[in-house]
Amino acid sequence: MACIEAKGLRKSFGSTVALDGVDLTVEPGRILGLIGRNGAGKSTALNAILGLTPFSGELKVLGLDPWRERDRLMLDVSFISDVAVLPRWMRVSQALDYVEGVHPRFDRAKAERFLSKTEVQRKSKIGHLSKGMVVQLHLALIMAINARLLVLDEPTLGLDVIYRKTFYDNLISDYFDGERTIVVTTHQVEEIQHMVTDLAFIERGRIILACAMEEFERRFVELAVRPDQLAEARALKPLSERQMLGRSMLLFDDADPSRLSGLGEARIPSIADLFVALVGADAAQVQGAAA
Amino acid sequence: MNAVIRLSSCPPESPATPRRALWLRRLPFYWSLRRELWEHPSLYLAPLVVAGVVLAAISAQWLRAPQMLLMTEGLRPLGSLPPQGLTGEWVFGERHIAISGLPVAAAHYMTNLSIVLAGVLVGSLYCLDALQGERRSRSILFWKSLPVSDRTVVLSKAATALVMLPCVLFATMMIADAALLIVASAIVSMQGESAATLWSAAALPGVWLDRLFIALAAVLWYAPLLCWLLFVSGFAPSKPMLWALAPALLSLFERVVLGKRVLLSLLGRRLFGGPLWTDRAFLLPGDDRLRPGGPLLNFDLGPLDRTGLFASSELWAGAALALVFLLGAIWLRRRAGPM
Repeated sequence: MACIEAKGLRKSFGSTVALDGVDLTVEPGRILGLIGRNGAGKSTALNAILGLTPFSGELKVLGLDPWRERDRLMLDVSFISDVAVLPRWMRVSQALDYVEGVHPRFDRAKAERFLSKTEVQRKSKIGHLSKGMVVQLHLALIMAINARLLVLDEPTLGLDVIYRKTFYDNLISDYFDGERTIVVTTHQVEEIQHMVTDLAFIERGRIILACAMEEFERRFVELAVRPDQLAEARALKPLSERQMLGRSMLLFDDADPSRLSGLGEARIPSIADLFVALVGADAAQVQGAAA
Repeated sequence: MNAVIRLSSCPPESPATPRRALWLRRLPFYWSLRRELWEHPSLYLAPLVVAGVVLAAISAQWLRAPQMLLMTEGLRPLGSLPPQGLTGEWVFGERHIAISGLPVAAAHYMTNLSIVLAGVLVGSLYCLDALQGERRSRSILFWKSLPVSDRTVVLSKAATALVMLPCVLFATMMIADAALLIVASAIVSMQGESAATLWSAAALPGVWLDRLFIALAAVLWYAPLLCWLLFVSGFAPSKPMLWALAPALLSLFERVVLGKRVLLSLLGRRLFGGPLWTDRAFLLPGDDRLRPGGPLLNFDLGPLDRTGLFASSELWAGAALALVFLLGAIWLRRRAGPM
């Protein structure tokens, strides 16, 4: 049974189409990076998966209809949607008590162990913690839940690079066990490139690319082409071309490796480069501004 | 192009939900109630503080003029004391009572009324914020990440306002009643008189039992108003107070423009009518029962018609309306997200 199975998933807000027939199947034990621009439909898709919004089309998460069977689904699903969502009035100890009280699959000892490695004090109010400490607390709460699906929507938004790296390191080393499924969206795609097992690009409410990372690494090649061979390389119909340090970088999809060899230095492109190539110049501007 | 991820990983089936989850499902309601008390300590602190302040003020008055207490309690002849001890007057109808001569029963009435008013204030503010605050702070995304249904959340908030708060008020009033009698007894004893008559006149167990019935009727009577506030907090984009007052504004519109007063009468009766205002719980200055020697000031209101409190069809119609508002609030919470 697939962890997430969507067919023709649609969602509109008035005349605005947020999801325009999304087909997506994610098997258990995978880490999916869902990449898209602001307003592309990422959060709407995640909200539908989490049963937070009604939708049309077919969608099953762990075999359940997330909108109709949300109460059952949430026993097996966790999510972090934003760093700022933990209630500021709550004390750390109260957060632990509460989650332990309402979640039958919460392992308090595990959460306590994780927190003991941080500077988060049990008596502190969440509103008095730094942004990074709030994320550590949230991660401790979530990681201690024996869930089958974890959804992370911009989990490291606004954090500095140290906290961001620690977050993903902890997630992989202490949480991911090869059986759980993780879906993550982020604008800092470079940070998840070596973590995800699968990739999906969403643009204007539609999935424009979905593949496993093995396929990504096999299909896409970025070539640093020497000027004298540029015309020959362009004849192979690259997806995109850009200039970097005086060299032309051409990105190919499913090109014949034997024809590329000798035209320049080949490498696996970054997810960001491929995203820009597929989504286009508008996305490049947005990504540039974000960087 | 909508591609499909179909990967060859062969995932082991995750373990089923543990068996203990079945009985633990009942606990989210309990923890949701605790969450409300953690988040809103004013629900129990405000009535306690108000009771403490009123109690201290009354005790100070009694201590300043202890003989006036003896006089108003009939332990010394009326007028046997010089008027220098009088520091102020409390007007009840055509009769004036010196504050320094406040009898025990009137002190009970003042304290309890203050506690109830504090409870009404914090309860109303709580309901107005109950479903909006979590959307405003975005913490709704955290609450919704846990296996607690929207029904449980809304019902726990309603139970906080309609069950827990009245229990807090009731307990605070019991404590204040006892504290007032203890203070009065101490003062009377220091003046060389017996305090036994104070306790026998107060007949606290009977008063408390009557008050319990009144409290139950009051909760049912005012439930539609509190549930309306809860419903408003579920949809109001901002300024929930203005939305909450919409029926009052509509009733004014009806009165001024249409020349009718159907809605105004309904609202007025719901606010200032019903079982609470027709018997004994709330009496306004000017009511004969508040006069010195009158029944309230002597703990002598006569037997309470306990079943009569619940005989009104209006009471049950209001309770049904409260249920409608609650169902609406659950529907709204199901679809709610951060603001």
